[in-house]
Amino acid sequence: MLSALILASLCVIAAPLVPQDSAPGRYLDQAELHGRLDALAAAHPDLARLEILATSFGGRPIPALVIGDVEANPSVMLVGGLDGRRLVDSALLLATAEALLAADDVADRLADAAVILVPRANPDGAEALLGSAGPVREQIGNGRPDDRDRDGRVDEDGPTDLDGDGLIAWMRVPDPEGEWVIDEHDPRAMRRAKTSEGERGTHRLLIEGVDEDGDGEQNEDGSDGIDPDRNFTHRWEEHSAGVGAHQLSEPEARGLLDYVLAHPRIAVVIVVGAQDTLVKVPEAAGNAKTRFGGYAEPLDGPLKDDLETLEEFSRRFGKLHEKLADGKHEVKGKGLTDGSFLAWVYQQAGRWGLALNAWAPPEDLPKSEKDEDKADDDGDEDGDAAEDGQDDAATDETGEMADVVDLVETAEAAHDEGDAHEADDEDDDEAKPTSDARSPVPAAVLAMLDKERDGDGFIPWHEHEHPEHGTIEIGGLAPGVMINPRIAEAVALADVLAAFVHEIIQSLPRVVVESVEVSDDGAGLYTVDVVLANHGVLPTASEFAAKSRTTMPLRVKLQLPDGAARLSGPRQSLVYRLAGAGGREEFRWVVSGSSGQRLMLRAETTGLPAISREVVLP
Amino acid sequence: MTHAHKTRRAGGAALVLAPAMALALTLLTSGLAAQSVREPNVPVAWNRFYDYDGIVDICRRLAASRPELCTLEFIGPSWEGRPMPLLTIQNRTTGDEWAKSAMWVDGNVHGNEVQGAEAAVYLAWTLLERYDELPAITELVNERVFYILPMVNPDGRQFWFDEPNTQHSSRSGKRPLDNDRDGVADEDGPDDLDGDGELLSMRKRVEPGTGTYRLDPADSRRMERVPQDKRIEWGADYVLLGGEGFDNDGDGRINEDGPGGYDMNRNWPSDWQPTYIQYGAGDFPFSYPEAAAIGEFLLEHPNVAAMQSFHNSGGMILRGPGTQVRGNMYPSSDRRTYDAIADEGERILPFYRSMIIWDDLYDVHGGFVNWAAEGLGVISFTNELWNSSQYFSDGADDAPSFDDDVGYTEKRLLFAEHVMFGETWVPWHEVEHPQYGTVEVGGFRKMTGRTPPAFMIEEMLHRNAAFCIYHASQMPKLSLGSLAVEDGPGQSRIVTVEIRNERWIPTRSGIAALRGIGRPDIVTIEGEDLTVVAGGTGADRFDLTGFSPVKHEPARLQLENGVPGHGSIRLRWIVHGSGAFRIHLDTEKAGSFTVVGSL
Repeated sequence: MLSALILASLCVIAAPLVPQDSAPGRYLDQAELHGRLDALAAAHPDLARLEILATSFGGRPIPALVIGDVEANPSVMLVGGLDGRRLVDSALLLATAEALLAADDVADRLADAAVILVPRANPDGAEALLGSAGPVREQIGNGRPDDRDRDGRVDEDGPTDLDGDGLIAWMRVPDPEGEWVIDEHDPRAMRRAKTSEGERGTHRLLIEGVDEDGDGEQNEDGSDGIDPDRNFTHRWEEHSAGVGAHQLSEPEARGLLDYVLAHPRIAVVIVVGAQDTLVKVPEAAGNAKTRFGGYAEPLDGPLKDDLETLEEFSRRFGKLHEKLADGKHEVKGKGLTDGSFLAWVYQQAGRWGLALNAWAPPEDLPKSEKDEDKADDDGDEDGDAAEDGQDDAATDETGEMADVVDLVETAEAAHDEGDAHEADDEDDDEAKPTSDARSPVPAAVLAMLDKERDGDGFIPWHEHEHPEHGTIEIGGLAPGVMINPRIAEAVALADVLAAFVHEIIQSLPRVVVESVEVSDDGAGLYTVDVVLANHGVLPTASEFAAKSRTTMPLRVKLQLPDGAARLSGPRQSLVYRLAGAGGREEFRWVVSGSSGQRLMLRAETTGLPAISREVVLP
Repeated sequence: MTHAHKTRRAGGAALVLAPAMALALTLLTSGLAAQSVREPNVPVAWNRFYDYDGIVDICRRLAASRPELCTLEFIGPSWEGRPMPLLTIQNRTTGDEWAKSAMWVDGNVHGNEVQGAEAAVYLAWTLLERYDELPAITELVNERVFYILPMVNPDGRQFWFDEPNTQHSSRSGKRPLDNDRDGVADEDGPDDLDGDGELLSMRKRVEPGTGTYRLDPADSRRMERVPQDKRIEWGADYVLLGGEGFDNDGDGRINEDGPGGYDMNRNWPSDWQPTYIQYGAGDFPFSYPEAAAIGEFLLEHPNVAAMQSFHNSGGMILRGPGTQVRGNMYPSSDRRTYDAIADEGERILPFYRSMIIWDDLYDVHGGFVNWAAEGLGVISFTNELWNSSQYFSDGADDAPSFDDDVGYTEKRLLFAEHVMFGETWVPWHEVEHPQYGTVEVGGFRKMTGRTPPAFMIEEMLHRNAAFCIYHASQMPKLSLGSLAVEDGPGQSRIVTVEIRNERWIPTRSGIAALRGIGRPDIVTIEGEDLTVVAGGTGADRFDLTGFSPVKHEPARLQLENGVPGHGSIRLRWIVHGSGAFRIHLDTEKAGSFTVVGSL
């Protein structure tokens, strides 16, 4: 292990290490990230500190930056990098932490709240993409050996860096049985053959490697390990590959769960990752079976009342984005996926679970003049396409790209010809360059790389003699390119996210004693009327948490001094939910006592600071 | 058409090497003496129950008595820090632990279901005591491994012994849980109001006509429920106030937050659901240290091919599925195996019925045997030990049932008075209650109902151990059906082997095959001068070309379905070369099996 680490540190990655950017920086490895978080905490000793949430399967500490007093105050937790490949998450969360702490008034703003940031929950997966242990490759999980192909040999057939460039890229293997063809508009790109139109595939696309164990499968038993984000208890997919031997078997998942359970004042968790609730709010739960007045099966989505709250979160995030960053954030993602941390947060821990997908690669080619022409044809009055406009994908290209330009021009020529022959719309569509969003080498992403990164991230296809497949080509998108943008884009949302966190803090439930009235009923009897109200925007508990009694209720009681006695009214009242924005609950006690006696009204729960109010008998 | 095939049968060239099955040690009958007329090697009184220390002491004595067959280790510890004794019984001289099928047996996951621990220890005692004496036992111990953990919930057990309890209380472990969600855990459990060491029932006399019960005119120990429209006419003058206790925390409720308050048998991974769906589940599977320790052990022991968990009571041989959602999960091959073993169990265990948990009882999410069956792919049962109809040995059919409350209580009272001489019943007596004023306390003591009386304990233990021994004997046992080497076209030779399983349990359960649990069985063929051209399963008995050759690795076949119970697999290879070859079947749950032949 040690020698492997030393080797790794000596290894200079010469190839276009993909999650990179010339300025302002590159993605940090775990040690660097840890160091930056340490430095942040050290720079704000009164406000911030670092906690180690868990030690990863590979032995790496997983730091959490805690800003404010998380034991005492309602808190917001942000978690990223559950998917090992998603370096973008940790970059965004580190920048968000910096943005939060950079504000002059941060101490005041977090006087009654706290923020916990876990930028990279799965450091082992991240290190695989950073190339610190072997060639740069995509690894979702934590690398735990798991005999994925169940053949009695563990991790014996993973990807192999055949061309020695330090990267696990793609192989395109000529094969009439394959489902892929080279994109005629960009020969670097691959798309699926249109079998419904009779087109036959010409290639297979495989991850770089060989069939090490001779079982006819390639790369079927590598070292991806267990995915911490499929290792939680809500609808855990028992016996599926990569979900773990049992729920919470992985230290990364267990560390998060333990932390949330130990901190009942964490009211909201924001997962930064492949999931999203802020752009597209999840679908409401279907009707779950009930039994004895409770649920007999897990819910498959948010309850209706909670959906309104989630929609409100979404609206507020959208508004902030419009205000602080131009336009809309439109990156969608997965919803409450089975076994995920996010699903557990809402559906089992009873906290608000939000998710933000910071970045996704473009699915469509940039709008070209061709489209604008077509818009004109369709009678769009606004159409004012610059006739001399160049195809974005084709500008500033190397000689290699000249072929593409040629192809595009050929296609355009064909298109014009088609027009002349009054071709129907279908022919129109066929001629138009498109990108296959399911391709690992889609034309749209190549166009983006050309335009924004000088082509960085694409490994030109080059021939290789493969021991099983003969002459093939290795190349395509480098590992991580489909997932991680340039640093500048990754951190672009930091200010919005920091502002959103502050807005959530402003919205947290705040239970107050709205009124206390004591009336002297004569004969030493008094009536005490109390109104408790929630002056926060959020309810004290989600509808789900209240219905399932997952979170602790507010315990309301009136404590009496010696000599006073309760004649009616609750000994202790349990309030599972006060609605947001003024939700109220009234209480009445009749007590016997004497003038001047001091009673104590108390309302306590684990999730909110306790409140108490002295009541003096008149 | 007649081929001039030269067939060499196993009798000549083939030799079966089965390290787990050294038969040489089995037939030592010279020292056979009836157990009933000799002093046992490890004397244990089997007509009583033992607390935690008592069970640990028996385990220590057992391990010390036959160190060559039995080792004692401790896993855990429990929440309160009690190490959990685990006995491993095996004959190491007949083969490696990993090369044998193993059976897991545990008991007492519910603290009050005490006899599960004695049943597990009795099994260990029987295996060790009768080894070398009874060939069936000797053979079993030589060929199999037993992992026996008597106390899954040692804290709940000890609390049941030490503290006032009912037959139903102390089911939970002892990790505090705030059941009434008032911010304080375990603050309002039952109370022994009169300090007599018992938790009984409370009743209170009220104005005639205002109650819901009256004393049974025939027997004042018994309460008779008065129909609503007869309360005034009959002068109903009693109310029942539940279990002995008062309102400790002043919330107006009694006994609503006792010790612990969860169910460790809902804390296992398969179909685990949170508390809002499944009472007692815990925060997540294996959240309790006892379950976590056992889970870790079992995940590290894929050789376990049979499991038994002892509970009480009701006289049941239970198996999964645990929930209706999984009602159709078990393939028919597994159902046949379960039925075959459970049917035999019903004969071994009079008063016991074979049942399916979700169908015959209720939904259990995250139960232990469900994890065993559905998560680990192991044939597993839960026995509910002791059926109180056994009090009346005129037979189960004639015994009053629970539904017949009058007859049942009447008979139990008769039993208490004339068979137990009053031991199991506490007469009603007046006690001052802090909230209810003067009440009467009385009823059956904890050591009754769910547990048999002392004189009936040993039969219960023996018959349940016998069921385990039968179950263990049904773990896969491999043997050579036939080995044939025949001439094929050209220089080729055709090797056909049939490997049998002489027991009910397959080397891979149907669920394991269907869900991809564990590793498939693997068969290799190798020889110094042997080239394998093709190989596969499904060798036709008559047509030498009939089999299903695999595309890759013909010399290393993967058998997802293993070797079926009371069935066989027929494998075939087309090879060329000369000299000796070795066919080796390697399984997770039935060790390995080697056949040697010559071309």
